[in-house]
Amino acid sequence: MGIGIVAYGALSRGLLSGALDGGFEANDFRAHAPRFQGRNLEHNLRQVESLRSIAARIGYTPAQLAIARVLSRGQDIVALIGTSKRSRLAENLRALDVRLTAADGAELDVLFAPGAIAGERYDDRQMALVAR
Amino acid sequence: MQTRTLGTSGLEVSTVGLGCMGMPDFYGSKATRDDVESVATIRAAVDAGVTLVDTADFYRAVASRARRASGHRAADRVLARDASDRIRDPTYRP
Repeated sequence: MGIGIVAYGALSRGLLSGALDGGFEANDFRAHAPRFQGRNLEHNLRQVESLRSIAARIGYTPAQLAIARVLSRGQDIVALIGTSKRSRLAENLRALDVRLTAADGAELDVLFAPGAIAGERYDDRQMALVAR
Repeated sequence: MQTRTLGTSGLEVSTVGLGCMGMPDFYGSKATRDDVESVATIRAAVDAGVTLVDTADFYRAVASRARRASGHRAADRVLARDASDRIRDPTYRP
């Protein structure tokens, strides 16, 4: 349709950085997002460990691999990388160097198949605003 | 910096853009918020060739900082602004 896609939350609010362990403060967006609660978070962090294993095998960080996968999904996609730290910015920009093989891509397709991440992105009230 | 074309109007932006939502207070806490580092991050991104800086009015103070920081170099850049809060405001008129 000729519509470009700006993929926000490419790191799923830090989840895919591999640096989260829960324990968000009350004013943190993630303290209220289903994806970051209890058993959902436990499940999702296990998925991130799988991501970390694949990334380590090809010499990158989980965040770099996650960004590279988003960019590999189409030439009409750009990825937003949210960070407020120069060190993370530098890490994330190196995602542009990642070359995914078809096998890597297939493995990631399984790991992040629809439904593979537990919990919605937003709470019910916010989902009603975006999912319509 | 690699670039890609968005849509059919010829708008070309860096393949990765910088998201600014985490800069004011949506992630982390007031204790971890660091405006000086945030602005340095925006500048570093622009210096690296990032031409897409994503912010929104509802990110409050950081939005204006992003505009200033991303404008410190005379490079072409795109400042994407999330207008969703306006779209949902029935009284808003552009």
